[in-house]
Amino acid sequence: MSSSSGNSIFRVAVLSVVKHDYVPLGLITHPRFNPVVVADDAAQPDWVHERNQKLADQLNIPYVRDVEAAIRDYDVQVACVSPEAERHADLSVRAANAGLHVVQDKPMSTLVSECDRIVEAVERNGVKFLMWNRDMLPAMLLARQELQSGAIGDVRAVHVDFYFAKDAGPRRGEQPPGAPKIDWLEALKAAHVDGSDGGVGHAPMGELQIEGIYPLSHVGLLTGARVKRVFARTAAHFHQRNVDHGIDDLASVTLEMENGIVGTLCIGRIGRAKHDNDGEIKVRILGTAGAMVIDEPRPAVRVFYRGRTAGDSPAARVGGDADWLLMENFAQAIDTDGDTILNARVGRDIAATVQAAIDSGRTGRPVEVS
Amino acid sequence: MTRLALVGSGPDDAAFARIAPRAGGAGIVAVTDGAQAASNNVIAAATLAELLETHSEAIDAVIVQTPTNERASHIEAAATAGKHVLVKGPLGGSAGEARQTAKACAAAGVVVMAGQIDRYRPEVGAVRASMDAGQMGQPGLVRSHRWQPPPTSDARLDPIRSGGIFIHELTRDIDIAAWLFDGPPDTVFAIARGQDPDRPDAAVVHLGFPDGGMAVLDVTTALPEGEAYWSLQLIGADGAVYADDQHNMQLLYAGGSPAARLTNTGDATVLAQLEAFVEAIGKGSDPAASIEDAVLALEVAEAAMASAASGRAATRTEDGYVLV
Repeated sequence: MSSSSGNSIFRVAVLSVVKHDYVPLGLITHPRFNPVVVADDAAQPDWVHERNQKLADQLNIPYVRDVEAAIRDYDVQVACVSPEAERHADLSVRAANAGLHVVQDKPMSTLVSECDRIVEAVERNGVKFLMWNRDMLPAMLLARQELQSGAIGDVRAVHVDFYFAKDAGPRRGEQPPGAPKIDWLEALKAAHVDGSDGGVGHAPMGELQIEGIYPLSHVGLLTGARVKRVFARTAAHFHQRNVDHGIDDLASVTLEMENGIVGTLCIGRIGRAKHDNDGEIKVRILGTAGAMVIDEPRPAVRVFYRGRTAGDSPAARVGGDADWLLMENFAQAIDTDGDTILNARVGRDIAATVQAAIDSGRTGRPVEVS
Repeated sequence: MTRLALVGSGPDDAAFARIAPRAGGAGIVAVTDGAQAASNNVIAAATLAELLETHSEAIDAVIVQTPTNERASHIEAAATAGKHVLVKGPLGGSAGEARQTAKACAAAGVVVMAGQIDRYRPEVGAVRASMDAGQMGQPGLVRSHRWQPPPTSDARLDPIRSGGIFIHELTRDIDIAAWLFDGPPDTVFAIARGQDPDRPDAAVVHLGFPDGGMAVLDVTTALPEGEAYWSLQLIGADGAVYADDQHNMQLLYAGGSPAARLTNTGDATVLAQLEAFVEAIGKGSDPAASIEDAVLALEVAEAAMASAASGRAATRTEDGYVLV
């Protein structure tokens, strides 16, 4: 690994990009991060290679079917990891072991034990790790700024709504009787066209696992407290593929946190028809001296026109600089040997909270976060 | 005309006097226990007992808004005297007391309507209407927030008299959830917080309903003095409804950061509640917000209190809610 300091440019290897490409495209909004190669393992199936090649072509950089060779031959300092969820940990650990700083897409892993492996590798190798997140969105910056100014006193409770108004194949009960189970991987591969393939991989995942890190990262950042215990309800309420695989597309979680802080999270992939935006995403914060209600998608502009299709959200987020801010945070962490806004250990704790919520939903009882 | 007596003083005294004529031509003709009379032409009695003894023939119905721990005796006294009863707030201080009250009222054969004021908010009316129109499909999630400044009256401040945050406050939100799910929750989990553990000023109640339904109800009485905040969401299989004070704010620019002003709905809530009561009296029918609903809300609130105290969840059995 080459050392970097000050305004040096970081050469980046994109290690697999089989789902949405927002992480590598977000990364390049910052001029200090320069993708020089896309790489993946040769044994991956054709569809994986096709998607990797597509990004390589888009960025006009080579695609190498050998991760270790790409790291060795292209003199990279940073890895951008965005494969299927169950390969996240493997690629991040290999990158960290090669001395690369790592930016990784969510979820951190499908297993908490794999998250532990990332934490161990990152800390042992002394590299920086950033889980991609939404904490730099303008509305969240406003919330933090108001909290830091003492506008509402100390935080007592944080309540997050995180509903994605996206469809996910046939609605619950829409399949004819006797229809075979929907193939998870094939369904998610097909969802790539509209960017709703966040759960792509072999292991079916519910919304808590796929998206839970976003709202739980909000909660952690706003409170500075860890989750100790959760109570959750989970259901496959909307989509047949979730019913087929016994995983949630709607969940509610009560969080008992350090310092007596309380949190709640309501999360779901609720379907396109149920919101005029990309989804209802709100953060409500109760403090010792007041409260805040924050609409995460603001600022936005609402656009309506004749011929608008049901799939077109009329609300477009504008004016944000979240991607650049995340990468600036990452660069500063590298430059100063500081911490990233969502490091491996915090990401691991969020994964453990998600797992506890899933377990609570299954048992109907509160569960300690391990 | 339905002749009404206000028993006990409440924040809606003036509104009742103002809107009663619009509710099927009703009128406030008497007040007791310190309720505010809108004019000198109403009967003012010290207590309900005195009113019933001296002017029983002058009233058809009472609106009971005395402290929670005194309510049951007032409801039973009025019902036994043949007066219809609208109860503001919970039916009593406990589910057991409320069940006794329900039994006494059933024997009296009068209309008893548990207030459940939030059902009559125009916003909640829109949520319910969308459900009734079949736009929502099977409900999946109900989410509500109700943040208020601390109570100011002595009766509200005293948890013994008011029932505290679970009985006095959360029964309202529990009733809405059970009403929207059209039945009782099968699971109850709750957390309460406050500087004085015996007087929590913030609580979250997490309910599970059959077929995977869920509700998360958040209430606090710890906002700084001023206006309250409220929101309600219902996410169904086919639709979703979002009612949120934030959406109904207007902006005021007068230098510095703008201030937000809530576009209020006037007397619509109190009027809708009173109309429903007067209509039930006129038709001799059971009101939509029934005494059984009020008992259920208290049962769930008690389960939530037990959950918050023990850290365990409660599930519904034939014998009521049991901690597991």
